[in-house]
Amino acid sequence: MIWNESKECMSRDAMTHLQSKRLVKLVDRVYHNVEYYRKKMQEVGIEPGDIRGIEDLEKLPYTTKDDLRNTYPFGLFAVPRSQIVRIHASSGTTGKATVVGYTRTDIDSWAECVARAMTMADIGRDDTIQIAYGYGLFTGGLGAHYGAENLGATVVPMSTGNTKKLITMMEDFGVTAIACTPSYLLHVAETLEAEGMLDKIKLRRAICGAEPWTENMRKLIEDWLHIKAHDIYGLSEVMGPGVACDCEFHAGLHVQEDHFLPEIIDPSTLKPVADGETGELVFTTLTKEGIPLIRYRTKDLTSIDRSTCECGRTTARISRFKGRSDDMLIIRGVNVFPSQVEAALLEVDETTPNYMLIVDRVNHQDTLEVQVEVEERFFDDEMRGLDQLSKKIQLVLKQALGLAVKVTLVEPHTLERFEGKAKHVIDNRKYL
Amino acid sequence: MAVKQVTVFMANKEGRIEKVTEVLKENAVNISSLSLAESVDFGLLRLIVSDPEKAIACLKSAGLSAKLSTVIAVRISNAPGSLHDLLTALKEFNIEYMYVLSTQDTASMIMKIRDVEAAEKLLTEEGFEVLKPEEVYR
Repeated sequence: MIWNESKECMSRDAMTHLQSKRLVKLVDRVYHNVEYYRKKMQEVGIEPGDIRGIEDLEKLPYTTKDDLRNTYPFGLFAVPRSQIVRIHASSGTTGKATVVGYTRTDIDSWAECVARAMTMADIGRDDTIQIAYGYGLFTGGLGAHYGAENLGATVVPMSTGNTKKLITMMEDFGVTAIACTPSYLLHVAETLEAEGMLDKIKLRRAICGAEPWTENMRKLIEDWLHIKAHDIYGLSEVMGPGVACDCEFHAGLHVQEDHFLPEIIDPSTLKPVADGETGELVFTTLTKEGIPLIRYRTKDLTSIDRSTCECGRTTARISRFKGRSDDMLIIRGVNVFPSQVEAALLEVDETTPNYMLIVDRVNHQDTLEVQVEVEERFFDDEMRGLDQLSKKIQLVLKQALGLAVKVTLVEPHTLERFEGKAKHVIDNRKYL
Repeated sequence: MAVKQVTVFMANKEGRIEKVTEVLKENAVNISSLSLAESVDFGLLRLIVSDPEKAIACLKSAGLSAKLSTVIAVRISNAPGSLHDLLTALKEFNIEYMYVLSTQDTASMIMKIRDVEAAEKLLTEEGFEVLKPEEVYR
């Protein structure tokens, strides 16, 4: 099944024509409505008239997370606030979050993209789907929710945090589909097995995203749960989940190209690379009204294939992600920058600025340990004092990262010092 | 009269206590009593030594984290009820921790070790006198 054949199966020429038309309008819109963009374009001597189609895309300057930070919170919004109906936020590189706003039309096109993705994953109106992403500022929960409702499925808004309840309802409600992170789905499989419930459930499809995973992990999930699993991709800056998803042929993730114009660039030269070559994924949001982004650098590394897929869709496909071109970590679906940890620790007097992040995967769940040096004059001869300090740091980090972390106090002068670029992360996760 | 105790903050891992005793041995500092408090990740080694100031100086120059704190030393008799009498006197106070300082000619170390049997076997082979329960319960 294809949700929107007229868009997903467009000829390459028709798609290029549509993208060009939308790009011209977009550039005109941001030039006149967003001062920050206007200045950026003026700096490189570009006017809206210079952009006549996607062949002129390269003339436009890139946008990065720094631009979002510089304009925090609403500086890149392109419509009056009265037209914004929703705000979402994700991790910024420092204390400030990355904020995005949606108009009602944006919410509708998002739900359209997610419905296309879920249809690719063979989920439809007869399915009962548990959305087990966090609901809230994170785009995962509400994004998947609106898409599934648009699809006409029966939506169970589980959110995260209670696996026992999730599996009980999965059995009692006859749940047939689930949307969550792949590592959480493995945890669900493990719990179902431990409870002897694997053959009592009716689950048949999963649509997983918000963190990188491998083909092997997909096969493990599929064999363990006797289901089919699909990979859904998105990022809040561009929209949220549903920017791309893989079909039953699992030959890359179909990008919703009529909404998001993809490019692959070399992150060091910033020049486009040829189709099939690995580089950084860049998106221009062609239809977004609230916060349109011009050539937004995702920092995700992938390659692109514009040939027609066996499924009949003509939309370009991006390969499974091959890593990041920055130091962002994805832990239990939450984006974490080491610089956020550093900024949070500066608030705690008792610690030195030296820290180390140890990331691991225990029972299919990501763990984050933060090792912190205790400032010599603050350590205590009583355990109580050190326990309190450790709890205080835990709280500060939880507030900064939106993620529970394990804090380990270590002796002063024991964490490795670095000359030049410090290495603050040890990632022990093995991607099966 | 206030007594100075040396507290060493250290990672809960192999060889850290031995590092402390090595430094104190090299500097001829005698340990007359100690107590070890541990969490999963770190430990606090509390020491009563012959020369606290010297102990702090040499531990710090060896790169260890040590500091002085003040404790009270109270003599009690080696007889039933003497500890209880002391604690009764102090019942309005919250005692954070306590441990024994032996004033006999010899001291006995009580150690918590996971693999007790193997440790006991090794110590016996090395010529140490491992006390039997009846020797401790007195």
